[in-house]
Amino acid sequence: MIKAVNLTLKDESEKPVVSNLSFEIYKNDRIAILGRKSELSTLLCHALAGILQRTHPSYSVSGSILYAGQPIEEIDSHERTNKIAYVPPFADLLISGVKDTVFGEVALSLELTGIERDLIHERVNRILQRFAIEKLSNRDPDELSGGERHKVALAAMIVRAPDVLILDNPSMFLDTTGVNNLLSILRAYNGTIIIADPNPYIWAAVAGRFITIEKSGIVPYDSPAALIHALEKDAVHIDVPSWHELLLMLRQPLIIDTEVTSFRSLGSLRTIIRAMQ
Amino acid sequence: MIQCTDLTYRYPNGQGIHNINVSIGKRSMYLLAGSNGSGKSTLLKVLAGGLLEYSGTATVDRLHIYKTNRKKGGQFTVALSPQQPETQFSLPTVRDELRFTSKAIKQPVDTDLEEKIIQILQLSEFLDSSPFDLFPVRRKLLSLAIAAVIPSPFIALDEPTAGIDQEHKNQVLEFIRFLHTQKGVIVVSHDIDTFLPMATDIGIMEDGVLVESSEKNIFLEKFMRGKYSTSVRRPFIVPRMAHLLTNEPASSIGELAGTIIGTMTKKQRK
Repeated sequence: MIKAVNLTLKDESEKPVVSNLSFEIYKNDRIAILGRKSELSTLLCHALAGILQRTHPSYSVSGSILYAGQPIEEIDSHERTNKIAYVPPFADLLISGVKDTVFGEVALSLELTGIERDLIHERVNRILQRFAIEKLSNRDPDELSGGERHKVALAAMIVRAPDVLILDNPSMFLDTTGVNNLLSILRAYNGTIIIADPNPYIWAAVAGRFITIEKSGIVPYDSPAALIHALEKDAVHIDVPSWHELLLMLRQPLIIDTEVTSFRSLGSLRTIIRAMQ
Repeated sequence: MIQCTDLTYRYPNGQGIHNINVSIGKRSMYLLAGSNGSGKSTLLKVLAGGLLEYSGTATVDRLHIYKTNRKKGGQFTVALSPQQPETQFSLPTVRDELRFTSKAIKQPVDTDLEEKIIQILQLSEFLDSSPFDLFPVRRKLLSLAIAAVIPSPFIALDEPTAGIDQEHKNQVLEFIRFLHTQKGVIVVSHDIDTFLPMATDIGIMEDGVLVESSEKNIFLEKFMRGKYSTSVRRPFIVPRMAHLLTNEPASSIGELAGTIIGTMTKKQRK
């Protein structure tokens, strides 16, 4: 679906930040970008969304990124934003400010794509419920807290159901329930998801494939097993908050599924520890 | 010392914070957690003098917040670094932004402090850039720096690690540790396990009410018994806390599990 061919990015001083990267992203892939530098994962997200030349005009790009066989920058920008959605780290900047209710704001992003009214109503209500923000439906987006605005912005992007959803640091302002709701939404999502987040919990629960940003370069891993194997051999050179957490998450995504909300009880803690041994 | 008695602030739509009673000591590192929309940022804004139409009393070093903030050229008592850095930038360069507050309150710039902050946050090569040309992570660092160069007895940081990657996280932690040697620090964060080790006190907010405010050890006891688990993000708080309680470094998964089981059974035996 998206294919990077010999992608090389150089910054203002001609220093290559990405060199000769090739990989392919298939339909309905779940890909996590891991690495200690959010600058690089942001650049990679911009490149995959086809907006790099607009956001970083001083960078030079060689090689190409193809979307359905077509160079991504040649696709009409309206069509491209309908198909590929990029959600930036401070997502609440996406809130338009022209609507005075949360419902209107989320509906606006669908209205712009030209969908029937009845359908809009239904889809907006559903996404608000899934983010557990239906209570905020009639509130003014400008009067919400930072975390609530973040949820509204995520809902407005996801409700459009783009073919490719690129999320840059989506868990940033979210509380426990926010993260859990986002995870269940992403799991059930019918489309390709690319997610760059410093939180290992998100990676392991959603991703099937990984792209690591290491000192030596950018390395794609095709399965959790491949990444676990490399981690155990100590062959992955990135810093994440904790290797133990990441390994544990990668090994036990099922337990995380069911136990994460009731982690506090001693019984569930035992289950997890037994699984760890 | 910050002292709030029955502090209440309501936005026109009825949301807000209700009957907050808290005292935060001069050398505290106060960690404030809670769900989205629970009023954490509102409390910080009141303390920083941004929302003056509150009821109840709120004092910093015995001075009423509304009085110090109404006075012309008044001193800053609580400096605030907001959640979204973009909302505060308006000047052409990073250096202008750093010096703006000192100019506004007609205080000389503390160049030693400024230099130290710039050095910790590694902003020196960006001083002449526009804040809007920086990567999001550096914009956040700049926002932290702007609050830190204000000579105030307290500093309040709203989500200081939001948008900060692993590479810059250590700088932010060093920055907060440095501030803690100089003044009282209040941190709002969901990333509670990052801040637990250095925190002295913890507060938890739910629906505009401060439901918990206690010293770290007392909070940890309650948390281990299962309280507040929905207000606090990240499942791995439990292993980390086992580590904190026992002060034993856990270097492998097996060891980590042993530490947790050890801690939990010890607790049970008691």
